[in-house]
Amino acid sequence: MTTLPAAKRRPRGGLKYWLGGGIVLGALLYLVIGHLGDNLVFYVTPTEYFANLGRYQGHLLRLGGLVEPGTVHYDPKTQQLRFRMTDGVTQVTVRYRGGVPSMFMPDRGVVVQGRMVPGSHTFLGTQLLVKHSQNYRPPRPGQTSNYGYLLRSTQP
Amino acid sequence: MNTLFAYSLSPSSALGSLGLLLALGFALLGFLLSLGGGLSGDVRLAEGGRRSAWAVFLFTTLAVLVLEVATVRNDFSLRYVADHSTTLTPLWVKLVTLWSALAGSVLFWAWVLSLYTFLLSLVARNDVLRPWVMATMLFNLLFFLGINLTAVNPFTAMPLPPSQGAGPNPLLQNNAMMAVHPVLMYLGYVGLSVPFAYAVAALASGRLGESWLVQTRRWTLLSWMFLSAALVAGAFWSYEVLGWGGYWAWDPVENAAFFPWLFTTAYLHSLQIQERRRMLKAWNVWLIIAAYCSTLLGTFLTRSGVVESVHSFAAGPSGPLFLVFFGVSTLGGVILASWRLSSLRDPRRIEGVLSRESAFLAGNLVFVAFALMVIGGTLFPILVGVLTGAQSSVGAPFYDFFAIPLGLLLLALMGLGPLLPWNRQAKVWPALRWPLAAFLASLVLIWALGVHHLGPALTVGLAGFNLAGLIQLTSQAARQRGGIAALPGLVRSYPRRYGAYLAHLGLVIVALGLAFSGSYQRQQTATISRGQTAQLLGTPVRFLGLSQRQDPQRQSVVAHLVAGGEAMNPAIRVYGNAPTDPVATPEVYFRPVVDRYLTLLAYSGQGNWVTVRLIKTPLVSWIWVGTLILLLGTGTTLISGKARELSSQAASHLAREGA
Repeated sequence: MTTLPAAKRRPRGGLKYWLGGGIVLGALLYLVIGHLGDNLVFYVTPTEYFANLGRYQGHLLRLGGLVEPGTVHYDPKTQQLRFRMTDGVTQVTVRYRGGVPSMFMPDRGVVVQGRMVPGSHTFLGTQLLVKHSQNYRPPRPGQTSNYGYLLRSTQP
Repeated sequence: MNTLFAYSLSPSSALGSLGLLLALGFALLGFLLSLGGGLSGDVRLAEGGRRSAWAVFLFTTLAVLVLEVATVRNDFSLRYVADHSTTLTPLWVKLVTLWSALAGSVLFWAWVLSLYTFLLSLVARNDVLRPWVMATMLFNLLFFLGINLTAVNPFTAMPLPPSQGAGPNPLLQNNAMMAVHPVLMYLGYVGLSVPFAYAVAALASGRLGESWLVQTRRWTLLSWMFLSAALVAGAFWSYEVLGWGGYWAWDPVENAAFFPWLFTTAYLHSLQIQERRRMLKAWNVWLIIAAYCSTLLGTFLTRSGVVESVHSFAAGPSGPLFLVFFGVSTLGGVILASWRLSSLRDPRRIEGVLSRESAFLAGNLVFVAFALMVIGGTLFPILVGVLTGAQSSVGAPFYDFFAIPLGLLLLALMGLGPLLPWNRQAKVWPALRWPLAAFLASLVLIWALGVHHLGPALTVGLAGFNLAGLIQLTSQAARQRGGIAALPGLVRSYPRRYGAYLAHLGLVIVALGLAFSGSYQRQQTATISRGQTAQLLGTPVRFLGLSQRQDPQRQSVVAHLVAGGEAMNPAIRVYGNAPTDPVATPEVYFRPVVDRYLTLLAYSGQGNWVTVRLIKTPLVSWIWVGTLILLLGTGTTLISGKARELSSQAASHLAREGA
């Protein structure tokens, strides 16, 4: 490298290019960050939702818990599904319209994507995801479910 | 570690561990010798390092064989086999069990890496770079073999071997793509360590000229081919198996495979600028460092459980280790590059705004911006988690928001680049006239045909632009050689150019497939009683009845339906090792225009009714066909042409330099 002649300094455009680039980059970043926040889907259990309403209310959620036995009503003709989801502490009524995967069963883990009806314990689901692993242990009463594990073992 | 050599407990465990330990020993020896050879220039040291790589490959292969044989022979004295296989598992699933879970997949990674190192030791040019290349590859191997012996050991023995294993995940044994997609993925991912090793060698030795680029072009193209094939094979798998009718969900695991692809695609184009015009030396080094380090980041993301994904590996103790290795590699690369590249100046600057190099450079910037956005979206939930403690993910609308405009921009630049001349400020209008006319004509035509989504309409317009450009370039060249009959000769003389054209053609087809399947998918769900017909999306669907099928490892319930005159038999399968996890198995009819996709969602025990979902997606098959053309084109660029193209280019450069 020593035999090379000294490198010529590149002519620089100066301040205006930096300023222009900075403004474009800033605008882009603002757009991206704003958009990111709007498109976040939060993964919560019913208990977590009600413990932090300020953060989660109005957002798209993936609500996870267990299907409470004896609460499932499904009409195959109209494809209306209603069941109660529990995380061991809090119960939420879930309404969903569409086909129900065969993995959907009482006492099994379930994750529903959708939105909570404000000021109620009713959740309107748009997408049903059912847990997909035999390793998942249901939470004991009084203990909230291990959401990360539930989700990792869930398949749309 | 105390069970490492418990031969009486498990011969497989002892033999496999011994193989790994010897491989690790030789990797360490080879690394030190190569490093010594690189620093001192002593040929004997470098040669010793090179030959150590052969031993590393030999012993890693031994370890892989031990695990394969143990799986096939149902040797449940290995915890890995006991956890991921059963005696009833079909042979092909047993053979792919090697990479179906964490510990085995790391072993497979190490094996592919040792294979690449071995091949490099045979074909790498005997120059100043070689010892450094070997040292970098062996350093990588040290890490993967090291964690294979400690945190994620596939050879851990079971003190009391069970009589039956737990078996593989039902989803993984439901489709043969499981045998294909991961292999392609690893070949692509790991292959990127070769150009990275050359970049490190160039930085360490100070030989930053074109030599390292020329030597790595084929390796990078090969890895890129595997990576492209793997991405699409994964999408195909998702489409065929998961029953939701889609193929891409912007899941963190998918993203982890996608952003290295973006960096590598950028690099494959910018290295041509350095080859032809000797510009962008520093940029190329940074790109390849980014590409390689992003594969390590992806590995960390998929194996640590820090991001929520539907199909990541179980979180293991290896997560932090991957993070450390990612940190070490990135930091090492960045420090080396900033130290060397600060003294580097390109001899030329880009002169014409409308020149091929500026189109390439613009494409590069778009690729990098694209990759950074995908990385940002993938990592953002971690930031949210750290700041607020909430678990979250970024939804697909965020990605679509930038992926569609950036994708269209890339499609435009892809058509523009080959039409523009290198460097010269020549008149570009004659070359652009017909392609631009084709753009407008196809846009108007498709709008008139009723495609009023902006994304698909612009995609069709740009497809017209690209096609017209490629036809114009090819026919002009053929005419100069005396007509269309000269085309095979042209391709033989310039495989790089015509391979690239073919790859672009493939990408145009893929783009059309993505645009239309993304915008015009329709689906409808219905419950149908036996003997009844329902109208789904305008297609009469008749339910005939249910049947059962018994295989050794699984039980299937098959629904027999007739959709639009064709028999369709979607099924639900229950695997014996996971009785509570039924797997929906959709029936897909691939069609050139609209795919028909039927999923069985539920059925009554007596077979009186079924709930099915019919999904119709236009042009999905164009993605698969386009990818095959893309791979064919990329393969063509790997063929050695009559080296004339490059040497005449170089000669004309020298002539101009001298003038």
